Amino acid sequence: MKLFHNRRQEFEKLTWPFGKDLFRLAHWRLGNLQDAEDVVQETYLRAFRSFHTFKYGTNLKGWMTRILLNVVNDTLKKRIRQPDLLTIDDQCDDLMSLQDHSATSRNPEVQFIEREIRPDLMDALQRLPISLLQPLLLRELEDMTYAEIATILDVPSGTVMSRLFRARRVLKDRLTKNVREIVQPEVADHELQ
Amino acid sequence: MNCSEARPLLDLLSDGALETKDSALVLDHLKLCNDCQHEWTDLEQLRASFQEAKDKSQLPAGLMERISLKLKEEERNEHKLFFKQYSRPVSMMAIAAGLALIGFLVLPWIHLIDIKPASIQTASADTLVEDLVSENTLEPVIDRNELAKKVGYDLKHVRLPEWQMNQSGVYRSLATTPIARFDFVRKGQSGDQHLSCYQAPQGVIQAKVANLENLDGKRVLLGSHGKFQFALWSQNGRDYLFVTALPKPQLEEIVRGA
Repeated sequence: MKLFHNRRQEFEKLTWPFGKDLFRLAHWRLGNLQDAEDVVQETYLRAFRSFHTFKYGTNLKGWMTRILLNVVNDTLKKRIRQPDLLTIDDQCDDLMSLQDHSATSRNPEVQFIEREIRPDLMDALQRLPISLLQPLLLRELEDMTYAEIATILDVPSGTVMSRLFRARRVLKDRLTKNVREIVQPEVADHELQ
Repeated sequence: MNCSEARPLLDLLSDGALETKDSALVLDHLKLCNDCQHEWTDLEQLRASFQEAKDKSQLPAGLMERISLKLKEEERNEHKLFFKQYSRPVSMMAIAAGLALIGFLVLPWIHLIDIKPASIQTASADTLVEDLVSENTLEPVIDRNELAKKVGYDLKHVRLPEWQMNQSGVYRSLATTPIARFDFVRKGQSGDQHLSCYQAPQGVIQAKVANLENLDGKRVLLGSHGKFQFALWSQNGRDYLFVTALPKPQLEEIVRGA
């Protein structure tokens, strides 16, 4: 009994500090509070079950984050899929966003997110393909280095840099476009007057 | 540094991944280029937006406690599964270990235990010696072949050149396996000497108290009962028990030559 008890205690002691970061990442990734809670819970369960495979001395937060992203992907696959609404360039044509844009509809959970994130930023994020969104969130939310992101996503560091560059430009363009969409009707109304 | 060189480095500068020398070059360019300065401002605003949202984010109340409960439940399930998986193998292993232990303790002694087939009951040498002088313990059978049929096994010859067979027959005993008996006599200086020879399948005749001696390659148990000396040994699948009132050295000499 003590063997099991100690294993769980050790696991909790080591992984509990990551709870907030993991929840935030799941929350921003899914755009849904309840799903984020479920994902974090499932992440901890999966991590506990395979804790014996974790190599001490390596990046535990990175290990947990990788598990969380896998759980997030599993969750998204369960949702109704929609084709990617954004084509960035030829290299990204095959990247499809698995995010459920219906999650951004006006419901209490989304309103909760909106209190955290500017709605226009949230909308732009939700439309990013996974390949761009994941490195961006790991960098901006988790303050991870390029090397850490590369390890978690299993891509070269150079790829992380280029994806971050593209993600930021796409976000900026989206935000600028949103501003124009908001401003233009006002101009039209003004012109009518 | 021109704009095409500076633009890709803006992200690295924002992420703190640019070396000091390159950072200085990019910052110098930003002072002179409005377009790149505008791009830099956008990047910083984007970063500020994330930072603002990060600061607002909170862990839902009770989430980690709920996770902890789930882990405890998982732990209990693991525990149950562990015992479910290993309870039967452990008991089987315990039985196997017990048998192995018994074997380990008993095997070294097993060669000392004279194991007989279930159908064979043994006869004590002492009893056979006592019965020499008892009446009705021998069913006389003169013909050797007839005697072999009676006892159910072929009778081996023993070499006793100085001795003359007086009588032969089937020894009546409690043993299920019949025992053949041959009584011999020879002339001695002080009168007739007698020797009785029992023959039975190997393992039938036993001697409880006797000394093991090697007589010309024969491993012989030598003992005495009353006035009689006896010698018991096995040879060619048969037990031989020689009984005589002669002194032990003479018996040993007879056995050597037999």
